[in-house]
Amino acid sequence: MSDYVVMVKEQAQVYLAGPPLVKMATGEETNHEDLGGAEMHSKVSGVSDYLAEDEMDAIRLGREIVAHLNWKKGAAPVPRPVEPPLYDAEELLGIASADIKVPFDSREVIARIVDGSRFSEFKPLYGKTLICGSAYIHGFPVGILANNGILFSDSSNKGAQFIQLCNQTNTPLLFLQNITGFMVGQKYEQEGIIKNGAKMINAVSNSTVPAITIMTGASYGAGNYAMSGRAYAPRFLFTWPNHRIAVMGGKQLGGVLEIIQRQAAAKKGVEVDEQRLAVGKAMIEAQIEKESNPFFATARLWDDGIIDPRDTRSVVAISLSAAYTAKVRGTTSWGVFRH
Amino acid sequence: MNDAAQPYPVLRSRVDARTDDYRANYEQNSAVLAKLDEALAQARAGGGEKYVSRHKARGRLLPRERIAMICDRDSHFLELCALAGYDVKGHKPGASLVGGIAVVSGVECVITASEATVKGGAINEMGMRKSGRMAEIAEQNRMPSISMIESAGADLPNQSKIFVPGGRGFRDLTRKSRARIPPSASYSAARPRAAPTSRA
Amino acid sequence: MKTINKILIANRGEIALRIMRTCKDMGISSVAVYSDADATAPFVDAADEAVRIGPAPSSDSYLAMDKIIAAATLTGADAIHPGYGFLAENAAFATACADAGVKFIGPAPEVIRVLGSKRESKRIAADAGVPVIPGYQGEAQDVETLAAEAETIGFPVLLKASAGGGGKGMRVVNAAEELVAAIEGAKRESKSAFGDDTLLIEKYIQRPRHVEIQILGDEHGELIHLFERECSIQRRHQKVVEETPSPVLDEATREAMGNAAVTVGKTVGYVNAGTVEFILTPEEEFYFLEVNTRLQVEHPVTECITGLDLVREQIRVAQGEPLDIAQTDVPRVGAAVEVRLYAEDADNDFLPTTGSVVDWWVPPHVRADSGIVAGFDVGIHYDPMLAKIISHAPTRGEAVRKLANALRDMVVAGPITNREFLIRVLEHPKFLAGELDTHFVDHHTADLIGVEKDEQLRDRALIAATLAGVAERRAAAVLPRLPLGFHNNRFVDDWVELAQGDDHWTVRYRPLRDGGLQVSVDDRTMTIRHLDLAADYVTYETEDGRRWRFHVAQHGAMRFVHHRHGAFRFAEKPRFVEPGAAAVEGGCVAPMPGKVIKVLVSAGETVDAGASLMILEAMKMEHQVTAPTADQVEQVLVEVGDQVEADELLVVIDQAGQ
Repeated sequence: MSDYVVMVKEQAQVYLAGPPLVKMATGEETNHEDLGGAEMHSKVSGVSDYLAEDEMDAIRLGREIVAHLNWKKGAAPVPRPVEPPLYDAEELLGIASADIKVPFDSREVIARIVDGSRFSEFKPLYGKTLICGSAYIHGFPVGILANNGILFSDSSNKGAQFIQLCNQTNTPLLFLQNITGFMVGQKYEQEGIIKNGAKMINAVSNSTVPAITIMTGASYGAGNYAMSGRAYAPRFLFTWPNHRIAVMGGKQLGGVLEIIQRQAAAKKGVEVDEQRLAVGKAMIEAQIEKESNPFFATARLWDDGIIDPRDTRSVVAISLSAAYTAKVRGTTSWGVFRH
Repeated sequence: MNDAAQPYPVLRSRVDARTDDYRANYEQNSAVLAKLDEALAQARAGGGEKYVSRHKARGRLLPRERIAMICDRDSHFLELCALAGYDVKGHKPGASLVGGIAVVSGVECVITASEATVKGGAINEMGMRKSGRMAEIAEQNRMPSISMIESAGADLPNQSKIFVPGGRGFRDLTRKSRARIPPSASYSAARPRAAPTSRA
Repeated sequence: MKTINKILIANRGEIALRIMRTCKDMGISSVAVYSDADATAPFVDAADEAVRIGPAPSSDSYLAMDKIIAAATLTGADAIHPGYGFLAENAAFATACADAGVKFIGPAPEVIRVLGSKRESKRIAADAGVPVIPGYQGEAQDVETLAAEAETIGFPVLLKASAGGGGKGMRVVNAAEELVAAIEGAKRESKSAFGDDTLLIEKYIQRPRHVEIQILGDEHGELIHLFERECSIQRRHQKVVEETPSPVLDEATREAMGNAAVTVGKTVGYVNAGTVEFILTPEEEFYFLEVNTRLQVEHPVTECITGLDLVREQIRVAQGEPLDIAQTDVPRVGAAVEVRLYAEDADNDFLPTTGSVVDWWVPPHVRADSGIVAGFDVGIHYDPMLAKIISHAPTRGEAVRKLANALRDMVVAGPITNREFLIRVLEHPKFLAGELDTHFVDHHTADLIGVEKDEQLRDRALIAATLAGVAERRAAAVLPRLPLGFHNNRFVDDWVELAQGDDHWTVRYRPLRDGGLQVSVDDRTMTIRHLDLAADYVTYETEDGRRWRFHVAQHGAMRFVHHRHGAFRFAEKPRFVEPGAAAVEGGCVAPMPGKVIKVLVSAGETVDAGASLMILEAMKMEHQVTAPTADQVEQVLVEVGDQVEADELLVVIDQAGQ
């Protein structure tokens, strides 16, 4: 339900809804004047609250309305001086791997987005493929989870624990996602990778502090879920131009299908048609490549936008500030963690 | 500023800008950024030269101009989902809607404005989803939401289909208006909710 | 010898503060009197005591003798210092002081009266053997007598109205043929302006120089002179620049003039400070003009070179003390120059200006005698002089350049002033060469007035005006340390519209990733870097590496931008127009601040183009406000007696058919 409606004389129109909502209507065919003309609605029906002389007047009214909402933000961090990072954000273009199969050190990313490049790492000696730690971004406290490789059991556990701790202190979360998935293989199955991975996914799902996700490289499969992908409703999700998103990478999928096809052929006792296999593989790879590239994803609203890596600090700060318009509260109820 | 806690330790950087990897990344990432700039430029162009001129000839402001006008001077504007509908059949980049986080009269708000130069601002499917996402952001973060809407009157019957839960109500509204009965308060379309995007 | 304990200063502004300074030095209490308009003026609080004496108009306050004397009685002041102007040369006031038992700091009433008449003082001078301008000031006023006298004096001659000045009734006659017509014209004008057609005739001096001698006498018969001051740079008989020593006087002439001045003074038994004015011809002949029986505005230059405090000398004399310095011992060190800073628009016929002084700063290496502070409101009731700036240096050249430089650095934001005019005078090659006469300003008008501003500097200033306020906005912003105007998909630049007079510009800017700004003024684009936006200063570098630093003061929508090479005043156009505040189309506005004395139309009346709508009085002149088009008067917004500001809307004319 619209809380305020402004209509432009001889132009405007009606509508829309939401939480405290300021609405400004502009522009329409004048033959709809009878239908729902601004003047009529402002003077007769009362559908419109303000009649604007022209567009600029409507905009002025909009500003005035917002001003008198006396809108108070739900939360405010303790004020503290903001130090810029020590290292140049420009270098992020050289750090982020253009080929997402090539790993890069997430600490270098963190160093270029947090205040003073200062970072207090949590459990640094354990679960090293997931970096967890605290920092400030433009004065906002933030708990960072950043991939530095595949998620193993220990890193998943650490992540889950860290998320719980951040909820305890009402600290927002920042996920720097660059993950090809959870570790697979016999050894890891035995270690309960599913169980531990699920723990982290559970933590992400139940967490109620604001989360912001930046996809800085690969975002494949279940790793996406654990690292607060779209489905887990981070407040904001942005991607870097080098990022790729899929169930699994194109080459990987191609490789998996090849293995399956060869196994099937072997079972039947027939020869594999190499050329067909090659073509099929190439097509799969191309399709995945097309559908996993950031433009494909952003076009379908799988994220809130592709950002220039150099802007990451500013974008995260704006997102945090927006999140602080609401109350920032962690949860203490976590569903059941299977240990 | 009562921060009794010790400042956190400073991270050491080991990046060497002279390595081949660094240079290769820099080059390739820059190339992709160039592509991003191009795509964003397309989004800024709205419906194209012809429609923009026509719009301005009618004395109207462009949606991005409206947003620029309403925002506080020198404040930030983070545009969201700028490339929704990019390279998707039947859509222009941006999906006929400009949206983002801005500061208006000192308050952070979610702003959306119809891209009137694309099909007269008629809203399509991707645009609906984008609009829903904007509303979701406003709700989750408890921010005031400002919408600057300019619609294509002619498309009303189709639009009602898009307004999903409230669609019927909306159709009734326009019928009532034509009959010169002021619409009642109950017409308000429910907020369209963005379905969690599944991409796997 | 009677010690003075408390002085009431019957004056205001700059001179009141000046006198108080000496009072403090001498341990004497001071009393200020003030009108309603001056209630918040700095001189009021600076005094030890203060008494309100009436509403703004001088006649009700600073000229109201009885009120001033009552204030003296009330506060127990035992002396009154009249300053200059107002009642300083009013013999009746001097008498009233004496009658009230309050010591008037100045000469005796009879001396004031006698020397106050031009004719009388000339007679006294002539009788004392002091050269006076050859002329005729006799009773016989018929055309034949006047013409004959003119021939005797020798052409060119100057016809002057005896009853008044200001140029009315004045005629220069170069040859006999023009005489009769000139005499008749001058008489007509004089009769019309002053009700009296009595004329004086004087020899007309071409390229005259105005040189005056400061005299000082005590109550024991001693009278000395304190050298000369040259005040040739004048505009409409108002002094603008004063200096000492005069660049042309040789020692012999100086001595002769000094002696002549002392002679005149001794003849009348002059006591206290005074000034004897002379005209100096190009041949260095001097002629007595008149005596000012008071402290002069330009006394500081004399103080600079002699090291004396003239106000102190005045007070000592009034206390009955003898002069403690002999004529031969008066020092003369270096050269001093003074300029008068006025709230007037030199490029607009020196129209007086008003407004709030938003910022005021004078560099410390020059002397500034001012009555204003930041926040002071310059009104229309009194003389528009804001301050005197004085420099002192070993040589004239240095003193002049020092003063010009100081004026360049000086910041005065708010009302338009003659600052730039003064700088141009001081830096004019002819002035530097000492080639002065009282027509200097007229001769060099093209160099001094209406000089085009440097366009490049103006562009830079526009940018500074645009960026003023950024620091404030950022500090109050949601994310103060975020890069200015962060946009991830910028469509339009941020922009501001600025105007000055009839000119206007649009300044657009967009931040660059490296912290610089791409700016354009209309269609001229440039990149600026290394921005430093502090509260009062905007500093940046242009692409050539040159640093530009501007002082910017903001007041409402006004942006006062100051740079050594030019000061600007821009009005920022608001982005949104408040409903009801929009400039009314078809309105008639006041051309200057003044008082409505006649309203000639009423609402509903139809008027012709050019018809007179009302009469305003400003600066002792009447101004008509006329209708721009033939139309109907919609609304008259003012009444008789209202004080109006410049550009204030007076009448709304309905532009039917628009």
